[in-house]
Amino acid sequence: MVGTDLRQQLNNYIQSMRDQGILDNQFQSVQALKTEENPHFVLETVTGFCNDADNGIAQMTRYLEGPVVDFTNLTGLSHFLRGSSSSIGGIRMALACRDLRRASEANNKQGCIEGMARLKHEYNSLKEGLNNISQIERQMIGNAQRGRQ
Amino acid sequence: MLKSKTGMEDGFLSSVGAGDSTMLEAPTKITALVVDDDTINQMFHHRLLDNLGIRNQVVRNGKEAIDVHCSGKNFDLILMDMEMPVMNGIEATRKLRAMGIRSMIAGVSTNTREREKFMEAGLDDYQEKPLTTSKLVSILHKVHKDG
Repeated sequence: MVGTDLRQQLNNYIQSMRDQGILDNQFQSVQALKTEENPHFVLETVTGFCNDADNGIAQMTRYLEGPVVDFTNLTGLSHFLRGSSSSIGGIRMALACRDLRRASEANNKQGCIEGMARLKHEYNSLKEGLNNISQIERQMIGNAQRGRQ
Repeated sequence: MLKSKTGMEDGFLSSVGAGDSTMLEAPTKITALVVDDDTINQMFHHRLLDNLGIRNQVVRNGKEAIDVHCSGKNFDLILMDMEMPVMNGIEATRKLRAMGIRSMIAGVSTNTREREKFMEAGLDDYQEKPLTTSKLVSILHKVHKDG
């Protein structure tokens, strides 16, 4: 059945992200909050996270590339993104945020430049995976809605 | 299928592997306030509480938590983030206790370095982010026992 195939495809894809260390168990907690009354919860969470991360990383880049590095705000934003990436299960991105925060707290510009590059790399991997998950989720929701009609 | 004390079947508790000993007071009697500046954590904690049948409100920082109490509202449980703009969780917890608020306040943070300072501000419990269902259930059991 199509529904079972999609669910299996989703599970396999999430498992592959976990095998690569991109996602941890926390993503299951996000999935567990999806209900029949709120089938879009995973999609909404992923969309919200990516919007926040896109804006946050753009802002952090400006703080780092300014004439004077704004370590205070860089520290704050790296902590902020660490929290949200942890909550969605993006463990590697959360660790990158942690390391960037440490470099920023130490006013270590070179460390921040390296940390920022790593954060962007981890976020790109995570975002790509989450977008693929979202695509499957949309198909599943669409199928479920058509099944009810 | 687990049942709450009201006898309502709770598929959610079963689906997330809560043990047979997980028995909550009638869920609709517990109210909660989520205090967090991060929109993902707000969504997540709000939904976590919603799915457990706990009426809850979300505010963005410690000052808004103070303001909502000053407006006359009270909650059984407050989930308090530590690092927030305007007013952080440590300061907000101190102020709430100074106001005489005796709700259960559980600190939820990724910052373990200031945990002790956070506890000393007046927390009843502390959990590291990310908050999971099992962590939340352990907090709720304390609300049940102290209620």
